[in-house]
Amino acid sequence: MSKQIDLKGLIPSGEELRILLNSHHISDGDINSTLKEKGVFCGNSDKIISVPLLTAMLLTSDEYAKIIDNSISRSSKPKNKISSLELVGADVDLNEPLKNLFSSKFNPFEDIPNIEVTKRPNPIFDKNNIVRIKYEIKRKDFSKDFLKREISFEGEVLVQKKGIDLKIEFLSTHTSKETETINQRISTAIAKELKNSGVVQSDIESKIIFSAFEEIERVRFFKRLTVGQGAFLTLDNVNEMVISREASTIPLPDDPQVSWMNQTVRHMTIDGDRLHSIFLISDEKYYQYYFIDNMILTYKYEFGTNTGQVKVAFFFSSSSRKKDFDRNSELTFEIIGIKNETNTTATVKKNLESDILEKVRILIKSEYEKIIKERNQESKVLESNEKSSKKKQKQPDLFVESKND
Amino acid sequence: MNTLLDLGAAKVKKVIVHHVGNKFRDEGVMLSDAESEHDATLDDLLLKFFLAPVVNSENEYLLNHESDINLNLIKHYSSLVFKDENEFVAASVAVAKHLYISSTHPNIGGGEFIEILYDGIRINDLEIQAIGLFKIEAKNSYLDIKNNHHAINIVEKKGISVDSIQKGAVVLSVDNTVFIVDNLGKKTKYWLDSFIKAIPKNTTKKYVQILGSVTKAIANKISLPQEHLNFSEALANEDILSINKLREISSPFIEKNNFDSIVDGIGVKSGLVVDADFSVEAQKLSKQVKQVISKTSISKGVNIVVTEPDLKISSIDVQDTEFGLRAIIDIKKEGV
Repeated sequence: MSKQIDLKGLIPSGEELRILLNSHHISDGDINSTLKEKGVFCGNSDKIISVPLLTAMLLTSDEYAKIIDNSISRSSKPKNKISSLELVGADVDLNEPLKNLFSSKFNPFEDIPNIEVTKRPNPIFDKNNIVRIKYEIKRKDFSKDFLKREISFEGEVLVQKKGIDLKIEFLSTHTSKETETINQRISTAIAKELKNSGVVQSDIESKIIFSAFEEIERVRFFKRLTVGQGAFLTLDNVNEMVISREASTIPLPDDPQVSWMNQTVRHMTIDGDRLHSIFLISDEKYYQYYFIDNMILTYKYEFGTNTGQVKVAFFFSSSSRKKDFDRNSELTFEIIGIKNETNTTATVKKNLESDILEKVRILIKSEYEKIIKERNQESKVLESNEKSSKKKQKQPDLFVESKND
Repeated sequence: MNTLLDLGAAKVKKVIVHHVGNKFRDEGVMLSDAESEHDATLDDLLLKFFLAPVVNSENEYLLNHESDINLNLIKHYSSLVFKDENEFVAASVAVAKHLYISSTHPNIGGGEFIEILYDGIRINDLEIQAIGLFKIEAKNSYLDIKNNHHAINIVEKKGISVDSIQKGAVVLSVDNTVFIVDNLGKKTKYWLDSFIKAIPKNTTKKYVQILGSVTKAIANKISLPQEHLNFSEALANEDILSINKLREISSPFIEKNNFDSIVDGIGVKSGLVVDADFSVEAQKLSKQVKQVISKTSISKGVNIVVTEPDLKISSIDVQDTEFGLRAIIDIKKEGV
């Protein structure tokens, strides 16, 4: 029988604590806020600075439990990514290749340390060209060692073909970092299987990754997510924007408006009712010097007789364990909370969540496609200007744009 | 004074529609380079559901600018059109761009911006023109019926509701008067503050509200019942009321500082720089004055309300007793 650790009496310190704090389960923010609570204010939230400081102190068992609980609750929340594949034709069969894949020796859990598979992925085939692949894992690492808790994480990959669209849409829902990797493996394997079966044109999924945007477009794209989705989702509030200089390759200009950020800002949270009037957010010329690391929006929703509010976070996330910022990280969204105006049953709530996920997926996709379309139109204009004459290029009228909707 | 407009002979002269997006989302604008076609039926709708509700709202403002009124963009471009109607399209394009630049709040919906030139509006004997500025931020759903040979189907469509104006402004060709309606702007506030840039106009309607609020606030500050009666009596004897008049009749009962802070607070709330001499006939304030006169406070949480117009409290004597209080109230019947 394993020895149970009583969390109430646990005072972790030294080497043991250092390993835990340095693990990817514990965020920079968790350490920084614990330091603040202990009266230590650290300008740089980098773990290189903050971990030695906290390791040199004694943590009360409550402080320790809070760090662990924050990490668990963050990991438990479902986070979603979208991708798609181009079909070769409208009349294709998805079911057979997927059945073949999951009845083969395909193992998406291979070489992932400290996990135990509790529910193997078993595709459920819906009538409307929807395939749902759900699984569950149990984490056996730090949490077990320190708390003797068994923490389960679920993951799901939803594969769907919508109407007459010549596309297959993926909606991958992960919780922990491990399920993020597993989802990625599942969708890559599905893409390969479908390509081998001649169903799709390419086995490379079309994803919304960080580096797919040109510098200005990324901020613009995030801001455009405030437009909502028809009558289903309308913007209620921009709760918070976290801007980051971390991945920016463009040095700050000698402009007093932004030069102060040089070596002083890595992440900056902007909130409040008038965040739109802050020059960094409102003026397009500054978009290139930062990216939006996280944006939390509240939408009002309306689905039939159900109305309420939903809080959604948008950010880039990667399963990579590299320390540097991963420019291949994918756009991810997370439903932070749903507040229905009337009390409703669990089934209705579940359906509501899936309706909201689908509308947010459509919103992200359409706004991304709009950005790409505008980029292509702009380059066409530039090309034709170059060809038609060698005269000085005329700047396109900023105000005249074709209606995209 | 409120501007009394006669819309009986008003006509729609020119109409143009642009699409103005949200600047926060870099949505841009789509500009029309020609006027919209319109016929008598549409003109009727644009008069009945666009012009009339905005003007009848009596939300009267004055176009404003910090330094020079001619630098107010709405004033500038409206004046150009009033001088030369051929400027209508070009001026509306400039106004649409100005609207785009003002649309920085993420909650502002992109939509159609409609500019209409009206004429035949009358103020007393003067015939004037007006420019209507309307923004449609959200389209409404409505149902239509489609006959499909074998079955009649209900189909959902989107359109502009004529029942309530979302954002509207009517700029008159005289003075700097503008009527403004904003039924969506609780959060964004851009229509009035950054797009039109106007300040509330001193109108009788506004001063009825202000003087009514000041009167009520004074009455609440007077704690002694007999003083309350004396204030009510002084109030009832006035034919014309203004802030200065209220200051005079309330001076025996409340401190000058108290009075000033009441007026300042109500001025801030109404968005007006209160004109202390703006007079309103007491008759127009009868409802508010009646509320003050009919209700007399005897003690905290104990009020006496007289609803019969012929009855009037002539004196109140409140005494503390070992159980609480005793009030002796003399009520006089008028004409007796």
